[in-house]
Amino acid sequence: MQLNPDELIRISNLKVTFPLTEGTVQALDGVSLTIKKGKVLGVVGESGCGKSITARSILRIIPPPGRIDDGEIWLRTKIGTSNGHEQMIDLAKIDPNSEMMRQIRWGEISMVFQEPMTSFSAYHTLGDQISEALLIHRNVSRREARQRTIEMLERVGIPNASTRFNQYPHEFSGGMRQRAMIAMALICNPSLLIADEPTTALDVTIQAQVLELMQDLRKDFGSSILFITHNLGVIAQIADEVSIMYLGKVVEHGSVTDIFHDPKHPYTVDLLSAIPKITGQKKDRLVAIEGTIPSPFERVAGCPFHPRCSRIIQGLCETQVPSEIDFGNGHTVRCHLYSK
Amino acid sequence: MARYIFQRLMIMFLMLFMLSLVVFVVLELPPGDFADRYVHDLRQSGAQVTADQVQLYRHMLGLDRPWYIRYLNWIGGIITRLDFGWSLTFRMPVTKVIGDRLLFTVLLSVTTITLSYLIAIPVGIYSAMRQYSIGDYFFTVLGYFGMATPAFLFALILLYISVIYFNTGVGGLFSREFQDQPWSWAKLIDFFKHIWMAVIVLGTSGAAFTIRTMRATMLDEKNQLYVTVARAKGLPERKLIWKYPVRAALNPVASTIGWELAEIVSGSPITATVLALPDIGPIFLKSLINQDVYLSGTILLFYSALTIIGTFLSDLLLAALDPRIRLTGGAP
Repeated sequence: MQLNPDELIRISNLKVTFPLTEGTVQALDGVSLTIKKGKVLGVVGESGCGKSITARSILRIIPPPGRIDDGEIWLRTKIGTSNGHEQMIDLAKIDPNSEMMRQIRWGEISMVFQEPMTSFSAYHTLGDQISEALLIHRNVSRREARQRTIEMLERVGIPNASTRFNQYPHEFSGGMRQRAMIAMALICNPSLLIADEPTTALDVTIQAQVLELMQDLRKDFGSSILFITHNLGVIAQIADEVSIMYLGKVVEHGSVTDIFHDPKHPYTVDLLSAIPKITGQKKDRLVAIEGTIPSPFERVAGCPFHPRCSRIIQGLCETQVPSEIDFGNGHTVRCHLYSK
Repeated sequence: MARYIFQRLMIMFLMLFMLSLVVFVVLELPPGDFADRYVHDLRQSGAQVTADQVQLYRHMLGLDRPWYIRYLNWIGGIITRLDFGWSLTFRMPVTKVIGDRLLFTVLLSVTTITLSYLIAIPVGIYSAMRQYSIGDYFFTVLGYFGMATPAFLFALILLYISVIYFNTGVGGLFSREFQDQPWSWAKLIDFFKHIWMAVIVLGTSGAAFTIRTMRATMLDEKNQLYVTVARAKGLPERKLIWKYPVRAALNPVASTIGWELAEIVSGSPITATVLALPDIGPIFLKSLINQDVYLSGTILLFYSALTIIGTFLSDLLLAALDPRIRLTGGAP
């Protein structure tokens, strides 16, 4: 497997299952994603579609009993090579407890989690927890780690950073904790930053601030970003490319322009029309997608979206899994409507 | 932090003071006093005692003064010169009657509690991290046995094994030659040689309980997001476990030290009897029957003080462990 020169990480056909006592949950059912160097890939989907599991698969921190059954996660990295050469590693194949994986975690790929309130240990100072990442992955002294952490805290907009360094998580507000989390995620200057709904748990004004901060930092650090959200508005602001996920599959992928102006998949079309518009008439009701996500223990035959789809082709969509159709310029869709 | 310790210390002394009052009042509640009891015994043995003689005797012992005067004398003696009063039954100072035994008790319980935590905490962590493994099942079964077996039965089994298979009697706390010797290095070593069995018997149920507590809280903590974050950060697994979830899981264990200490000290009188430990249990019983106020009061005070001191230690430990407790100060 060779990554194209502009690609940082490519996930192909990733399958993750959770064997539970009630049945097996197919969390990811052949996910394929590519993240380009220095670009932001937005992943959009409803709750339970496998966005977070995709992110956690990359770091190999899927909660037990989840396991990767199939697929590849190729990463371009300098870790594990001498004289600064790059190599390609399949993260899906290596032992999650290996030294290699340990070095890739935060050394190469870091992550901002959804809940800033519980992402930090209540028993250690924020400074300790942030500088710890530096001490593990970069060859720095304690003093230097402290210094760089304080600078980083200032960079993400935390005032009085040198005092704040010695404070505990409960002394920070949610927004401030998420800022600290971002500081921690960027402290080792990773090549990929995964942001798993980083603004979902924050209130709207703080959301906007944090989003602005991330866009700002993106320019400075040049990391690629995998931005996971269910909020299309956020995606329009921050992403270069977008993947739309439904039930453990990517149903459509394209540039932000393609997705917003020329959506192909009925699910994408529905998602876009579900965004509330302030220009609408007062009598207009909010648009919602018909139906609900099926139980995770059920496996939907054919196209996963067919039970909710308004443009279903009877006799085809319920039985056959649609294959990927390329519209050029990287715009791909999995839908029978477009197959010849 | 210093303010917190100071506050807790003040509260502790206040509690101890109030306790001493409660203890004294409770002991005064039953009708009659030591003089009645003494005279009753004399009459039983056929002696003729007049009411005047009883009154004289009572006056001699100072028992005719009101209870609060006697209480103030008693507590004053304790505070000013560590004099816990006079045991009427044994006709010597209370400190003489129970002093040595108290020292044994403290040594024994501190040893027991330290060892029990040193063993139980790592075992609990292991059990949680390897949940449902053979090792976990082994310790779980062992733990339930430890909690379910009455200590005295356990003591008997151990005694039996040591006498039958190792041909060594290990009752008591000292070898014969050290029995009446003053404390010395050699005596201390001899003491530790003897107490291992008592430590096992007294420590097992507490240790088993700590294993269960530690396992349960670790199971809760190990799937918390902050642990996942620490793992995602690339911390080596072992270091990560000890630094993050263990730190949180120690809280419930630390808060049990208070009553754990008292539990071990008061022990079970039957266990003490089986192992021939110089426990204060029998003396306590005798002092209560004889209405020997100062002696029983001192022992009661000692028991309660252990709980309070244990709680104080728990508070300090919790404050050291948890910044949220430390920073909010303490009781208003």
